[in-house]
Amino acid sequence: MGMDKEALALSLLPARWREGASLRISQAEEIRLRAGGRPSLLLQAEEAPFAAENVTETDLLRILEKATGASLHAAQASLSEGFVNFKGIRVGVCGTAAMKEGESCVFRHVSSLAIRVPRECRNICREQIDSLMREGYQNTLVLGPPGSGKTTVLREMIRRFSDKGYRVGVADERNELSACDDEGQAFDLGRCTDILMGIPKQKAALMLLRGMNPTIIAMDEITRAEDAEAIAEICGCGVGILASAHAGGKEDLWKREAYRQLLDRAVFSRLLLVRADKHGRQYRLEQFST
Amino acid sequence: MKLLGAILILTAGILGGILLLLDKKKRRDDYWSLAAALELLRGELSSEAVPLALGIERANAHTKGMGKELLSAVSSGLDELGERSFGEIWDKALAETCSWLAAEPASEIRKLGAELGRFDLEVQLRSLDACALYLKEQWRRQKNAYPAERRVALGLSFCFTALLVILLY
Repeated sequence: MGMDKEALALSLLPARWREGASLRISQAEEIRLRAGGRPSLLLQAEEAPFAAENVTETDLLRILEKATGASLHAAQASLSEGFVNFKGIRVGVCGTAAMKEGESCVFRHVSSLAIRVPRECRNICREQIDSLMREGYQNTLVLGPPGSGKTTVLREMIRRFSDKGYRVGVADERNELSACDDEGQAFDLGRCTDILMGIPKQKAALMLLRGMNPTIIAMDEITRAEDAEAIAEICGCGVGILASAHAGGKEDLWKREAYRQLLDRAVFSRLLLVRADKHGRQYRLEQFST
Repeated sequence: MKLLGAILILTAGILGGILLLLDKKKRRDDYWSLAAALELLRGELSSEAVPLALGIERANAHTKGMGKELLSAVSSGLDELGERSFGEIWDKALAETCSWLAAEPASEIRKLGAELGRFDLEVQLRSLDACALYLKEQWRRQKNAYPAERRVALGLSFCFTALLVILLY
């Protein structure tokens, strides 16, 4: 098992902030840092400052340097999507960016960072997963707004199905599901899980299909057209599909071109809706009828 | 006895001159070693766009001399990332390992540290090229000047020692 993710997230902060942040890190979903503002922890729906001094751009640049090992060029691909990955921890980046050669994104100034604190939550969403298990696996899409906990649910579903004997192939493009670092895998994804990291989902899904004989192929965050194409390609190959997507609700799916083709082809039969508010998280399993 | 003393003083004087020249030669080779280390680092970064730490580690494995000392010091300083910027870590490593460097070459290498780890890989590669070229130029200049310096150093040390012998005896 790798280093504790809370400790890892704290290690990104300058030493002078760590003690203050550590007091409530166990309840935090994110560490929010904005130049000119006080550093704070995102606790469910509100932000709580943990230090008196304001964040400077130098602080942000140093954190970013630490997160990338002073190698922003090596993190260019994910930076173009608005984040960098530090040993399985997503660090969202905002600031003044410039496009280069029409695609890769170069940040001239950094104004804020959001450090996610990933957690393994065992036995969440139990009733819904049990229901899916009883009925036999059907292609399932985990749906929810950003920060609602889709990845955590996806991780738990992978673990439960894998431990039940399903061979789950995980296309973990950004190393967020398994959160592997030098010391190993931080999150338990089950005993029958094979993980392919660092490869775009479309390619990874086909590699898993050809090479690992999976029962289910799982992937986090279908956002781009290529991701939807990856699912369309493996659909009908006799393998189950488990994926997550950003959306406020079922209706939002129709508004995005990338998802529309999946809906037209009726790829998913079940929808697992995730909601988070100040009372906690709610899960709802629905039959997906288009 | 007097003759033996004179011979000893002469030998010591000439040996001093030779040691001075050897030190100069070593410093000259250090420029080459630094340039070679930077070229290796450039190669690592340009071929796969690997993270800087990995590039430094790989370049370090294939280099020797002063270049290796600098890269090793930078590599071990990377643990301080987050508390110090990469530029500061680079400067510290440079001060620890290359304190003999003249102000201008030291400033060129410091400038490189401020560029490395920055957003644009092309800028980093250009800076590595420029710095390696500058260091090689320094090496070439010193190499060309070496024969004349050798003559002067040996000649002067011989003359001064001989003068000392005459004055003493």
